[in-house]
Amino acid sequence: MALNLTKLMEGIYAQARENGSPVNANFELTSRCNLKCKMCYVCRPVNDQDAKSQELTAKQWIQLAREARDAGVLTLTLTGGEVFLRQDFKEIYEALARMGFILQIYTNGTIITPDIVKWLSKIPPSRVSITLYGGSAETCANVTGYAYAYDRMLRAVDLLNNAGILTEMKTTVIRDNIADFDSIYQLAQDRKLKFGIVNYVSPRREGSFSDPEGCRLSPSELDRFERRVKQINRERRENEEEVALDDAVAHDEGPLYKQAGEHDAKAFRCAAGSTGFWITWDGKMTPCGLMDKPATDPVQQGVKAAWETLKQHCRLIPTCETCLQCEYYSYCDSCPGRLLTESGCYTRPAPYLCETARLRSVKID
Amino acid sequence: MKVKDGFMLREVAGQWLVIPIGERVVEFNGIITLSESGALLWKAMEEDVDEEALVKVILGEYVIDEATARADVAGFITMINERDLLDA
Repeated sequence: MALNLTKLMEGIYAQARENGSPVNANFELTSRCNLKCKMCYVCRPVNDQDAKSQELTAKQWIQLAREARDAGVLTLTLTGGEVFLRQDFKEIYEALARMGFILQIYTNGTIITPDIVKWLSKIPPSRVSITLYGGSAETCANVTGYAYAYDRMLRAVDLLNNAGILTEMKTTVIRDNIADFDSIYQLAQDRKLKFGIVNYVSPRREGSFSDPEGCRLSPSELDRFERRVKQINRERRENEEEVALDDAVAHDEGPLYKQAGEHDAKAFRCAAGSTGFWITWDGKMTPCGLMDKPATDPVQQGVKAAWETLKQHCRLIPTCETCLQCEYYSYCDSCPGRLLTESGCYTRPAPYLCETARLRSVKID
Repeated sequence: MKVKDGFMLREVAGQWLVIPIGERVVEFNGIITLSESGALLWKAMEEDVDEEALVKVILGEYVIDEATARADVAGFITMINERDLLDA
């Protein structure tokens, strides 16, 4: 009866992979955001009426959630854009919170008020994940476009944490905030919170004002940064949380698919398209948040049928043979989503990923 | 005898789970795993039932003797009672 959650999930994912059933879903409730982060892959202005008119309604999201639950989905992440921008977020969340999911919310926290926390604490999610973009108001302003972001993000973290809602801090590291990394890490440590880092910044998925490639770390900067994180983890004290290198969009399936050197015949190394899916703000089902294709239509087809079609499309995605043969493959984060956004092709290696992998492989005393 | 409200029994990828929902998450933030027979008993206990009825549920589903069924039911009730999952 009492099982470690990681062990439990490993078993469930293994079985789901055999069955071909989805376990993990992400609902991207909106593409609109009140911040203008330089590295964001999906972010439209708050009052973008065109985007707003194409967003699925609360009723549609609730119906999709019901169908996703019936199809087998256990962990459901609500993400954006900024989810709290939706006037009907409360309606959506309250319905989903009673459907039997392990529910988590990704937010920038800046529009979370004491009233929202009071409401949320009565029907809490499994976890709220807040991304902090700098160790100071100045850095946050550089990254997000707004100086107020820093105070508001921390206020949200503290309000949620003090209300007993399991809260996680994350950061996405780019050139504009890398110098702040230690202070961001310290902010999480001071609060004894789980801390994750998004270390891969993807080229943007859809048109917006952001410029991810212009601000992301170069391969050598990224390699130095990752070595620094490893050092922090080596030096951390027993009571301190390990710093996890994370991903903004991948489906976390634990260690099953992430073992270095594991060469699998299938193109995806994560759960995308085998046990996980993403539904975009305008209602497309895709393997993950990076990819705008293959896409199916869960609103018209229903979730189960859309999932079956998506799986078939994913099986047809070719594996990059050059990547598979590469001596640095086990150090590389290449996947169909990244190859497509980086090189425009599933089977063409992406120089950014190649160079990062090569540098990671170099042993330094 | 009845299990508390605010839990949902689900079968996910062949694994039976009991998941707290809505307000219940405040006091129980975790997941309960059950065997197939445990899930059968839990489902029956979503309505008010007595121990005799639960024994019949088990005997109706499995080819076992009554003494074993009684012992299993008693063990299950003890287990969920210890975890404070029985409605007062």
